[in-house]
Amino acid sequence: MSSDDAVADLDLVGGKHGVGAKILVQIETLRAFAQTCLISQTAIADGRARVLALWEAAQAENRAGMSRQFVTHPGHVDDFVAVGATYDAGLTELAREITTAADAYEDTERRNSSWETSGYMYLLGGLLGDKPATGQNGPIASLGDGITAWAQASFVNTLDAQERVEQVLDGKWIGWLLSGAAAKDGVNPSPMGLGGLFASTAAWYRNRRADIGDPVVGAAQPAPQGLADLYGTLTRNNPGTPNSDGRVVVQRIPSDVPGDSEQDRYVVTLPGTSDWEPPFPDLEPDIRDINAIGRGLSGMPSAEVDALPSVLERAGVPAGATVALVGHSLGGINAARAAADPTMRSRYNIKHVLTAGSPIQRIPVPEQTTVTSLKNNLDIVPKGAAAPDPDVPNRRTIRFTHPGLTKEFLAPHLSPTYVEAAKAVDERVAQARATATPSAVDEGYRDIDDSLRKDGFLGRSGQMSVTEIDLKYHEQPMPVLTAPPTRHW
Amino acid sequence: MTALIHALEEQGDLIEQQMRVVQGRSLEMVWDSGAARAMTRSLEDVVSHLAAGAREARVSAHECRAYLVRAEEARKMDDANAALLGLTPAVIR
Repeated sequence: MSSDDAVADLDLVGGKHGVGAKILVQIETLRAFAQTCLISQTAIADGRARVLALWEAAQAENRAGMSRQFVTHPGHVDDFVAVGATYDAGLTELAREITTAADAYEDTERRNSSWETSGYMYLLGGLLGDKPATGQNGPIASLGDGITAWAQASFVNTLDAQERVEQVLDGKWIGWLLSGAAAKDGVNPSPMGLGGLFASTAAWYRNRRADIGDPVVGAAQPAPQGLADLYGTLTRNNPGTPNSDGRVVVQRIPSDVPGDSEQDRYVVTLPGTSDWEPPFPDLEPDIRDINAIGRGLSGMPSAEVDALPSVLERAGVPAGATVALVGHSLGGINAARAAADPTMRSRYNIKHVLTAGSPIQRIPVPEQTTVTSLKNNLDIVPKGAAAPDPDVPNRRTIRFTHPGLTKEFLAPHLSPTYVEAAKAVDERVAQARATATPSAVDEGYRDIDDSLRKDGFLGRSGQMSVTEIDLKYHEQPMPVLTAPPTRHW
Repeated sequence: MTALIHALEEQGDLIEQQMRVVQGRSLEMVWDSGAARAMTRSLEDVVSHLAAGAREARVSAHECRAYLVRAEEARKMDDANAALLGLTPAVIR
């Protein structure tokens, strides 16, 4: 690998050390800090009151007269008392500032997360030509304006004329839609991000169902030891070529205690988009298409998430099992949606969601599920959510810069690029473990690794079994027209 | 006076200890924005005030101790003078 292809700018957002709002700290830690300041202030003030009382007693003793020749007293105690007033006020003020900051960050969090639920209202507002409320990225007059701005941003600003023509001729029309989304990071024409546009495209497609294939048992593999092993399956079931048969891969990591199957862990890897065809004509329909992206981003039911409980059952995952969902691109969107899906949650303990290049920032995930997201700064897809990386305890975003392993369009988005980043994170975890005083960010990577290890997804010694299941587009038979009754004259 | 000296010394230790707690808490965090930088500045102010407080407490304790020594020497001198003059020490004082 040349130095140009190396993973660069590795950075962590969210989780214990993380943040979206540029302050690498959790709201709870801020509140604890404010409390610490107040406790310190009280402790010191109590001590100072005692010093003052003793000082007055000593002065009285001095007045009673110890010596004719020595009646003065040391003035330093007065200085000490005067300095005390400044640090008292300082600690109280600091506690107040920190509490205000915690409130502000919490408020921002709340507003960011409420975007998701109000996202559909934005879209409806846009369609009706009404002006929806101002979002973080400014108001949008209508969906039409949004699309126009998008098209301008992508066609006019990001590509030269020849590239534009080539991409349209190549059928990569979705490419300019995505590059528009990423044209100006954080300044997105649509307050919903890609969700707004994709939600509307979903309406053009038929509502699809998946046919669940028979389980195919693959060769056993060593249990995963690092993030790269967990993400590694993505390159196997996610060829990234149009209409490829991406399969759901279910890996069972057996318990290290023989016979204790309750401790078995299941890693379910979901593939990304494999059908980029526009809705008309959709010659080779596939469930992992633009329709699925629209549904996933906007929170509508989708074929893959609806089928997932049955897929896991067919793959032999017992009810109540502890599961990690791994997904690239659309697979990550589906993984995040599945973690919040009532049927999935009622059957399985979804402990971890690991995504790569997925615009899931606005997708709400239950607190019990820890989300680790890999995000390539050069990948336009995860920017499509047009939302900051979540700064909540159960969500961590590992950001990095990598140009991609090939020169093709969207190379930075392809899953092998993300596996490279996972390897880089594993190296940093190893460094953090080897150092007595690792940096806060390296500690963050180590925490991610630790939590996966503690939950049994990393570091086990056995071999894991592998089951793959195909999800195919459910072909609905064309309605059969009955022949008109024949008349015999 | 002895109790005051102990209280001042304890206070010096306490302030320094609390200063370390506050600094330790702040080290758990990585600050990286305008608002956070402002907060860091007021944190630095507080820490320097606390450092000054701990220093003042110790200096006060030291001064009080020196005062006690000087007072004791003065008392001894009074007693010696009183003995020389054939008076009781209380009259000298």
